[in-house]
Amino acid sequence: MIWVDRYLHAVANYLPEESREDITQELKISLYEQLEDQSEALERALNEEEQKAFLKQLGHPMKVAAGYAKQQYLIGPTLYPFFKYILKLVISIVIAVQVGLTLVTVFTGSEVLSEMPGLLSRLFYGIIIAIGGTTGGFIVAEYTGEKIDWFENWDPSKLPPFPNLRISRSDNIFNLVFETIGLLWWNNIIHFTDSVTADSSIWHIGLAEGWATFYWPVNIILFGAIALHLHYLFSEYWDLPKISVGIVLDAATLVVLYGLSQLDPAIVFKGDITTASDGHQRLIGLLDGILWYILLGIALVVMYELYKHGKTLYQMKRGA
Amino acid sequence: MCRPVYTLNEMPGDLMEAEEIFEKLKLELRRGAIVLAVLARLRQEHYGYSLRKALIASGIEIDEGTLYPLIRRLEKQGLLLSEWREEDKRQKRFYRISEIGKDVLKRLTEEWSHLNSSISPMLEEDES
Repeated sequence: MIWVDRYLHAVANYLPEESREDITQELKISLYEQLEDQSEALERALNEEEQKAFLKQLGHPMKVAAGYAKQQYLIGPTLYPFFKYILKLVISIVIAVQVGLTLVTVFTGSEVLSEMPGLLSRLFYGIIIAIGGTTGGFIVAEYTGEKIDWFENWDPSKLPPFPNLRISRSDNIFNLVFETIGLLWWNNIIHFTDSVTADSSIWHIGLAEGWATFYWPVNIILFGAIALHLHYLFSEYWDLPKISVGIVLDAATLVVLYGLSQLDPAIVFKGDITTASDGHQRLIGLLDGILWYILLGIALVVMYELYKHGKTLYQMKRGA
Repeated sequence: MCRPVYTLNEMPGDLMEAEEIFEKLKLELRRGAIVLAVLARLRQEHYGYSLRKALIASGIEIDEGTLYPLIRRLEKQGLLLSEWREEDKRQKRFYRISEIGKDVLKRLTEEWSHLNSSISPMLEEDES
């Protein structure tokens, strides 16, 4: 029975130490008796090939030993949906934070191209760490039998009228990042590059005085948007109050953007401008134009948000 | 009507898929029933291989890779008792149902009968 003994030895290698001897002994009696039954039926001893064929149909030693293991999976079906949800959230946060940090670095003076490899490598390691950390945490929760009451403590009254009224977490995180950068810039906490080269000399540009009128409206809108998106981050579905505040904020943003687009001039040279030539004035005109297109771009994004909010409100009303 | 018989290699794709689905569902269906059969068989004492032979003799095919871990799990749950004893000059581990096991078996049997009496008419309805 040399092949059976070798097989049992291989199975034993994969068994937990505390029950190894016990299981191997039990399996040994069973395999020996099965072979004896087969010998009896054939009225002769089984040859080596027949013994190997018998062992082959029993299955790989690792598979046989795995049957005795306490747990056959790292994250079970109960925790898996929650794991998937948290993993998506963590990865979105990592991407948003890294992209945000890179944007700040780029606009505060560094070159765009030199920042790109850094961003990709930080993103790569960030995502790996996020996946590893989240998976590790859930494996521990599964192993220790930790119960997550997320599924138990749900409220049927919070069920959405339509399945597509779910708040997009990635949209939310990206909004938060850009609003935070905007707020920091608006309050002079971070500075984007303000130098332009004209006629072989470097000129510093700044916003015209008219912008000061919008200091508080812009601050209120940005603070409001950040607070709202932070709140959305921990909510799953749209409801009437959330969508209404969102629509009001979108409309207020469009009004302020319209006001900003009416400023003339919007951009001015800083410092001594007595030496500014016609060329410089044309440059200011060009920068004004660029700024106008930036404001238009932001307005289009806000209008799209407004359209999405309106559509959600319509679906909500139709489902009510 | 006769069903065509195929070997695995010549089976059309959709039939092969249906066969795989059937095998998975059969496994699921058998899982609970096997626990019931093991508990019922162990009203009389058995060691691993003799239990397997008794189950096979009753028409329940089961391999050792499934049976032995299952009886160990049931023992750990307190539904079975076991002891090592010598028989035919070999040390064997004998299993029998515990008092808790008997109670669980009784309730599982009731559940089985209830399911059987509920499902059978539905299946007969479909047949006709």
